[in-house]
Amino acid sequence: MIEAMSMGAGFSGEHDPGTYADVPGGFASNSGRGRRTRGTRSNDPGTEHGRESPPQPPPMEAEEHGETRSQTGEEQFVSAEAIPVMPAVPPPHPAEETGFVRPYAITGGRTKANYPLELETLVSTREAAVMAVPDQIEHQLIMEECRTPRSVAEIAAALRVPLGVARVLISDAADTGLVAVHKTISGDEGAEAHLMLMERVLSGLRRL
Amino acid sequence: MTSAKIVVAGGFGAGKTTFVGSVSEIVPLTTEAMMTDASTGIDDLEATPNKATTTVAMDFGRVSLDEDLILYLFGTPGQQRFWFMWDDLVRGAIGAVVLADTRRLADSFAPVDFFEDRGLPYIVGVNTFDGVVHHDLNDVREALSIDQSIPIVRCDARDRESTKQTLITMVEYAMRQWIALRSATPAG
Ligand SMILES: Nc1nc2c(ncn2[C@@H]2O[C@H](COP(=O)(O)OP(=O)(O)OP(=O)(O)O)[C@@H](O)[C@H]2O)c(=O)[nH]1
Ligand SMILES: [Mg+2]
Repeated sequence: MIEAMSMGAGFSGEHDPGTYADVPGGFASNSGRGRRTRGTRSNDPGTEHGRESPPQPPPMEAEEHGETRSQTGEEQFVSAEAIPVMPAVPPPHPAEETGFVRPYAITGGRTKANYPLELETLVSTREAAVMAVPDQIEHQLIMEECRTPRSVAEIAAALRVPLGVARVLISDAADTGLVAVHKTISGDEGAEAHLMLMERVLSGLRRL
Repeated sequence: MTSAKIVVAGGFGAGKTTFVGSVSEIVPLTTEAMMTDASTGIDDLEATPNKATTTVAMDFGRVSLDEDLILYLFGTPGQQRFWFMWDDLVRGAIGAVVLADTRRLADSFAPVDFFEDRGLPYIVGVNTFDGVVHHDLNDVREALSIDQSIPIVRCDARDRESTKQTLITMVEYAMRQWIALRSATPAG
């Protein structure tokens, strides 16, 4: 979560994207097998912000339960209550926030989402909320878009807002019970669930 | 209802959008993210309000694989120097396809290095532009200095069947990697 919002965070102190080129020894993991060819290029992705990104919040309990459930094929809707609001998220560093002043006006200046909203995380309009008419036009648009499940990336594209803004909007819409955020199976937690997901993807692709 | 994600990487014009579009049930959409251009603090930004953000666009497609499963294919941003989106892209992804244009193999170095660094399983798809295979696949492997175990396949990003096959190869490989990794880790 909050990755889009932390976009600036990873870059704190880095003025020019070009400056994280050529950090020697950036590929200690690569055990030296014939890396000379690639080692000379100037854009070394492994050496930049990843290492400096703010630490990921620990996986939430609700998520792990959700993954267990997903194996049994049960519905994975997560109620706004089921996922705890991130505890004690430190206020964003001023430097992170300032770049977002104008686009984040529609989010009330906030840059944090309360849910782990990956690019592919699915969001659906709640049955109980279909008649609701939220005040904020963006929430109306999200509800329209998510009558069938839509990913965070699709919502951002449909609303023509940057990902970080979409994440905050979706988070708010989920908090007010307008939409449900589906569980996202990630490789970091629940190895079994991830393997089962890969199997399903594989057979799905073969059927295409 | 759940979703999965595969990353499609490659240099400028390597065929990422074409690849995504050839299997996607929607015309590839574009989503954007922003980073701060100046991150030195509020004073700086107030001084140069127009330089506040840089936008990075990436496109993606959707494939419904069964009633309860949607696969998303994300093309990496064209401007490869903006790496800040890549963590979002790889987190939770099944794996990646690096599309290599044999005329510009060096463009594949950065994504290959990134995925190796993050431990994301990837395969290389050699796009046969104009039907001419400029390189033997072994030469490609050598040029990219990637391990023997990593599949390198020929593909035509414009062809749905080819793209499908490339994706299947990638997921099969990712599963092998996943299983091998787990059995190698005592904690399991
Ligand atoms: N012959 C051939 N042409 C291809 C293939 N894949 C893509 N092309 C063509 O190459 C051009 C570039 O393809 P794109 O899919 O736009 O490449 P891209 O990687 O998305 O490019 P950027 O987003 O600009 O980095 C287009 O004109 C495609 O039609 C292929 O496999 N074979
Ligand atoms: Mg493209």
